[in-house]
Amino acid sequence: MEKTLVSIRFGQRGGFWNVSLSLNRGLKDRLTGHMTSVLTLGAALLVPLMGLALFLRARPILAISPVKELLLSTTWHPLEGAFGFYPFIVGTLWVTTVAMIIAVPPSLLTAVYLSEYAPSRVRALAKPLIDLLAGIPSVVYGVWGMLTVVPFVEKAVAPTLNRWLGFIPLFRADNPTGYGVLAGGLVLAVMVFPIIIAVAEEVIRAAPQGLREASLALGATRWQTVKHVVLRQTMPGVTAAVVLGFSRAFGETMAVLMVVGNVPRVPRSIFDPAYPLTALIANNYGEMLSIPSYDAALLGAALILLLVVLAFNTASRLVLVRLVRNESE
Amino acid sequence: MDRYLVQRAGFALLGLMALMVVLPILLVIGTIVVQGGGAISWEFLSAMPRDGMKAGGIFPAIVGTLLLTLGTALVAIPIGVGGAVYLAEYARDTWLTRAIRLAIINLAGIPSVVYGLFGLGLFVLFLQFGTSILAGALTLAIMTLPIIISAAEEALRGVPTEFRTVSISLGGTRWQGIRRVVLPQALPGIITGVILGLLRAAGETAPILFTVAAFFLPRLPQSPFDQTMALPYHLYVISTQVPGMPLQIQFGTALVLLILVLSLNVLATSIRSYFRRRRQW
Repeated sequence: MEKTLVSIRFGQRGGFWNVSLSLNRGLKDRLTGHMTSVLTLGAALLVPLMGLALFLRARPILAISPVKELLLSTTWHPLEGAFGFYPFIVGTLWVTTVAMIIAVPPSLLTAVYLSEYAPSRVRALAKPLIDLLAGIPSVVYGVWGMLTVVPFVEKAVAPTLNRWLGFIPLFRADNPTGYGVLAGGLVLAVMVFPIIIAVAEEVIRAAPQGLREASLALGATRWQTVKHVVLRQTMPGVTAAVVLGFSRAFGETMAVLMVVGNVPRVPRSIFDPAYPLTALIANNYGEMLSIPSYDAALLGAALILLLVVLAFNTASRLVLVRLVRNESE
Repeated sequence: MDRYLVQRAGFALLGLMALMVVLPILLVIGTIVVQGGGAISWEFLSAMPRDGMKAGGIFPAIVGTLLLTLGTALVAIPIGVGGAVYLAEYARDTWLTRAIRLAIINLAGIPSVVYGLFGLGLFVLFLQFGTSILAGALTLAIMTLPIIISAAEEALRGVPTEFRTVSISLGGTRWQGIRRVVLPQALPGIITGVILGLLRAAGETAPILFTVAAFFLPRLPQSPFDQTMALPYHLYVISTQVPGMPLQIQFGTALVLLILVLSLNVLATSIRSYFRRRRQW
C-alpha cells in the first residue's frame, strides 16, 4: 500500500490554477469505516436519548404525585393538579385489545394460507400488496373510519348487539354516536393486518422443510402437517408477530384519535368512548405549555408509551432473531 | 371424519380468511376513490384554500408535503445509507453491533406521536429552529432512518461475497470495492427502501403536528424556517376541526394523499421487480 497518506497537488487545469487534495486510498477506507460507524452509533443512540429526554422533562410530575397514584388514579383535572393516567391507560388497552381480537385470527390464518397453500402467483402479489397497505397514511384510515366505520357501528352494529346481547354490560350501547372503542378497534385492526401477516408469513415459511417432509412421509395430510407440525414449531415466532402488531396498535395515534370519542372515562362497554394515551398527547400538547406540571404530565404519558412499546418490541425481536439464527445453523 | 375432507375444509377456510383480510382494505381504497374522485379538478390541485378551507384548492398543502419529503430525503438518505454500509460491510458481529441493530429496529417501532414530542423538544425548542420546515423535516428524518437503514442493509447483504473478494484480489481496498462494485449492485434495493421510507414520512401526521404544520396558511413557504401546511395534517384538520366541511373535499384530499403515496409505492415496487429480473446473479 502507498506510503503517503495525504498528497496535495498543484496544477493548472482549464486555465485556472487549482489545488487538489487526495487521500491515500487505505486511509480513505479506514476513514469511511469510522465515519459510517459514527453515523450508525448516532442513529442507535436516538432511542436512549429519547427515553432520557422524556424522563428528564417528565420528572416534575413525579414530584407532585407518586407513581402509584399517577398510574391508578382516575381523576384527571390538570388545572387542579390532579393527573390520574388510569382512564387513558385503560382506554388504550381496551382499544388495542378489541383490535387484536378482531385482527389476530384472520391475519394468522392468512399468513398460513400464504406460506403453506397459496399458489405462487398469489404469493408474488402478496408482498407488494402488504408494502402498499403498510404505506397508507394513518390519517387516511382515520378519515375512512370517521366517515364509514363510525356510521356503520352507530346504525348497524350497536342497535343489533344491544338488542340481542344488551344484557351483557360489555355490549350495552348507551353511547349512540358510534365513536368509541369498537370503531377504534375496527380501524386499528385493518391497520395491523399487514404487519402481523408479513412477519407471521415469514416465520412460518422459515420452518425447516425437513419437518414437513417427515410428517408427510408418515402419511399425514398437508393440513395435519400444518396444524400439528408447522404451527407448533413456529409458535414462538408467530407469537412475536402478534406482539409486534400489538405494539404498533398500542402506539398508533391519528387514526384512533379520530374515531374513538376522546372522553376521559374508563369504558364499560365496547360502544363507550375511550381516550387512549396517544390521543391525550396529540390533542392537548402545545395548548397547555403554560402550565408546567401539565406539560410534564403529557411527557410522562409519552414516556409510558415509549417504555411499553420498547419492551414489547425488544421481546419479540429477540425471539425472531433467535429463530432466524437457529435456521441458519 | 375423513381427514382429506377436513383438509379441504381447512384450506377453504384459510382462503376465505385471506379474502376477508383483503376486503376491508379494498373497501378503504374504494370508498375514497369513489367519493373523492369528483372533487379532483385542476383548481382543487392548484388553488389556495378559500372560505375557511371549505372551497378552493389544497395547493399549499401539496407543496408543503413535497418540501417536507425533500428535506427528509436530504437528511435521511446519507445517514441511512452510511449506517447500512457500516452494518453490512464494516461491522463485526459483536454484542455491540447486535445492540446497535436492536436499537435501530426499536427506533422503527416508536409511536409517531413520541417522535413529534421529541422533535418539538430537540429541534423546535432546544435548537430553536421554531415551528419550521427544518424542524419538521429533521423529525421525519429520524423516523425514516430505521426503515432506510434496514432496507439498505438487506440490499447490501444481498450482493454475493464473491463480488467483494474479486475486488480485493485485484488490489482494491474495502471502500473501493464497496463504492465501485457493491453499492452499484445494491442500488435498486436501496432506492426501493428509500422510497418506501420517504412515503411513510410523507403520510405522517403526528410527528409534524407540533413541529411544522400550520392550520391555515394560504401562501407558499419562503424559507426552511417557515411554517407550512401539509397534506396529512390538512386532512386531519378539515375532517375533525372544521364543522360543516363538505364530504367531497375531505374525500378528495384523502384521495390526493392516497394517490401521492400509492404512486410512490408502485414506483418503488416496479424498480425492485425490474432490476430483480435483470440481475445476473
